[in-house]
Amino acid sequence: MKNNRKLRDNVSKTLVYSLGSVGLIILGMIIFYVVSTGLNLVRWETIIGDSRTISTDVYLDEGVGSYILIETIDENIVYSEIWGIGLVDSTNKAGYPIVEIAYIHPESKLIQPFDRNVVDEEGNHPQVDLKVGTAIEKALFNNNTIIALAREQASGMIAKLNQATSITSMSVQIVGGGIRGSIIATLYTIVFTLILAIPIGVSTAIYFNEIATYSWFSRAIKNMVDMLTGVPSIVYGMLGAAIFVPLLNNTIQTQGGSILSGALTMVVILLPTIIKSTEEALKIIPNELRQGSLALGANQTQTIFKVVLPNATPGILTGVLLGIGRIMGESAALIFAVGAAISDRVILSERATTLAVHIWVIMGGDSPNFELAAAIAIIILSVVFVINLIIKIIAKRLQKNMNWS
Amino acid sequence: MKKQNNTLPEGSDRIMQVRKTLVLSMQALKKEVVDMAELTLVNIKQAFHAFQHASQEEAKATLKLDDAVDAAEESIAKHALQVIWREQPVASDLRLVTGILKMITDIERIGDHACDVAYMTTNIKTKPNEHVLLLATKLMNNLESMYNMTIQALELNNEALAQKVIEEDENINLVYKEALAKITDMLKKDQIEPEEAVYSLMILKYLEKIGDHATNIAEWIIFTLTGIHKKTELY
Amino acid sequence: MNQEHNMKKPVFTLKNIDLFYGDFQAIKNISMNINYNEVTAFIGPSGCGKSTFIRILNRMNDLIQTCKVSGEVLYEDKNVYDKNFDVIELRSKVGMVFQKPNPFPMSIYDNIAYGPRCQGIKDKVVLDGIVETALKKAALWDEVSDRLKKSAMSLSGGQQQRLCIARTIAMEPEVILMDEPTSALDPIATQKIEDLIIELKQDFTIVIVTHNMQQAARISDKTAFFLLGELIEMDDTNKIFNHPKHEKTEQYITGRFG
Repeated sequence: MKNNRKLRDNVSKTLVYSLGSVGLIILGMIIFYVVSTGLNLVRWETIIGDSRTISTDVYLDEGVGSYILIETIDENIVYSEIWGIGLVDSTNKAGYPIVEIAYIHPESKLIQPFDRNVVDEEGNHPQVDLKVGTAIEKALFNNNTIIALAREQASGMIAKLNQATSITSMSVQIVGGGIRGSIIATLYTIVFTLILAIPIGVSTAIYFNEIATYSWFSRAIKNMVDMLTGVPSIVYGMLGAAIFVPLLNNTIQTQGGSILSGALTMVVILLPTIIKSTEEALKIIPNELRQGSLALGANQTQTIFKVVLPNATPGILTGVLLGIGRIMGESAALIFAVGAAISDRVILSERATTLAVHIWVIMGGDSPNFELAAAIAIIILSVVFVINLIIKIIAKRLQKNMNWS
Repeated sequence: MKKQNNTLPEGSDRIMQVRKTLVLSMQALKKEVVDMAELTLVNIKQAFHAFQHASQEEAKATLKLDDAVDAAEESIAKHALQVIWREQPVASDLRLVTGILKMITDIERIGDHACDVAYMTTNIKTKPNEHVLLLATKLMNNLESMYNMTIQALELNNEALAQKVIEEDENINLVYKEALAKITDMLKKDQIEPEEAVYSLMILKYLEKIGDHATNIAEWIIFTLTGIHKKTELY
Repeated sequence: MNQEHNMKKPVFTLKNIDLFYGDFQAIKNISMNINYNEVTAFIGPSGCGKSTFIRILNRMNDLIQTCKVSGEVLYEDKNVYDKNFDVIELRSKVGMVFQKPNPFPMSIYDNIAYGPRCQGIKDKVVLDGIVETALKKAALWDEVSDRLKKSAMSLSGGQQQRLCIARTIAMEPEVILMDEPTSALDPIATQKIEDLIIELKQDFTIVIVTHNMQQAARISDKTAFFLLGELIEMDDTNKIFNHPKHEKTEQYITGRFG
């Protein structure tokens, strides 16, 4: 009898341990894969870089000068003191030899040459930012009299460059793969969503929890809000596409999706969560505090804003932080409500992608960019992790403050 | 002052027996007082009997009985104090405890006077004069009935009885005056030995004083029941 | 804070008060007066309506949806339940201290300044004065004057209750209602508050609900005995505790029933 019991105990323990470990192992493997794939790209350049790879021809009429090196650079870099640029031999993704910019002197005019192929409304050529890693295919100097090709290698190009007084046309490929635009778009979305969602959500919760507490109406609303927290966000995305996009098109002349329509959609998604967290935060405030305030001759507004709300702030903040996490992770809804066009210059009334949508874009199509996707995933994970940490710290402070005994 | 028993709210006739210690201590205390009073009554009767029959031994025996009375007074005082500090009595409990503390003083004096009667008897070596005896017996009978009534009033919480006791005191005073006049008269007519006259008068006086003390006790009994002592509301 | 009133007139006159929670009648036809500068104690067994009744005086039972009050509650000759009566104003003149101390989770200073600030007083010098006066009147100044900015939650239970009393006093009310103010405190804290109440009597009118009869006997001038929603007897405290008129009162105060 005893042995039977012991046996069963051991069997179930083993089962539990193994299943648990399986879960942990799988989780560990996922994290490990993501981190190892993307850690490379988690660099400053990625974060502030443009997304698109720009191929264009640039020109510079004047830029000759004396650009003495003030810092040591790698031996492989061939440097031109006349133009202040250093080139290096490299290979592109397909394996072909290319010449890359390895260093630009801080005062060199080649930091921002002009784009030959683009003319703006006033007839001017915009400037292009050259940076380290830009590949040069070929270059024509001095009104096409001097030609330099990539297969001449860095040394050859620099030699020809040193003879040039002007750069007539230089074919460059400015590597993209940055996510600056999406980061800015995410920040804009978060800010605009919260600007609308917090006042609306908190006021609603205050109204139904403090003011109109007992009507059947408020109870019905509260039930509805509880239900809405469970609606899959893609439904809201549909809503956004169907209502907010046309609305904004008609009112402020946007074309299709925009960050604003995305923000409005996220407001609808977040409202139930914020209302719920605020409600919970208000509920745990003991009634004795409200009674104490009223007994001193304060009216209801003063009681709410001077006693109840300040003490509910930690709980509300928790809801807000959860909301931020949700915005960062939202993909499908925003694809519908905003669109999936990665933008480098982010404007509120135009399309842009948040980080999660950016992942979707670069993973779709013929050549999924696992590396960049993983890098973005790492960034998102870190932010979410930090948010959760903050929530836990707030919760602990809440405990201490609210210890009534 | 009658207690009003108006229509009570529904459901309030459940009387739980709480404060058992208080209830029991009060009962015990009251019994002690009644016992002490009865003891003194026995002592008076014995002292008078000794006087009636001029019995020196009985008189001397009576003197020794007073120790028990004194001891009883101390014991009751002690228990009364205990009730006060332990139970913090209010209202009727408070009146009873404080009333008892006052009563035992009078009961103890009654015991002392019984002793005084016995002591006087030891001085009168002869059988008392028949006239004196007649009046003394009349006085004693009234006194006995009055003191019995007092003890009953205490036991039964009877305000009417206590009131009657107070009225009875008049009779005792009358008989005393009658006896005083008779003895004075006999002295003038030389019908009685002066020594015997003096001692007999003193005995009669002690009996009359016992009546006064019994009246005091009755007044305190009325206080425990109504809160009013003589004519004053003590609250 | 002396009451320059006709001392014979009561501060509260209540006539034929009935109170219902839905269908349940909690207060049955009670009439009474509360006098200026007196401590009136409400005693009675649990659930007899005394806490409910005291809340009629500052309309705190408005907070309960199902509560209906009928009858006349006259505060300074005006009916408190009148439609036009300013409840907020009433509560600044009739303050309340609760059974469990309920300081706000703010500094001691802010707790006391809360009421005056709600009334619109902003001047720091004025507020400082109010805080000091209130704390002195509540016999708490000596203990906390050096840590006014510390959180009120750091005080002991007895100190917190005195803080709540100070908070009420800061509003300069006429009447202070106390609902079992010492039942959550230890005996020494209780004694301090009882001493405080006896002192406060000079400047304020106090109504106190207590289930501790000895407390009512010690500090009150008038005592009202409640039972199952009715007022059985109300009289001078010494009369109630020496010679109550009603048999049930006698049974209750001698502890023959609870």
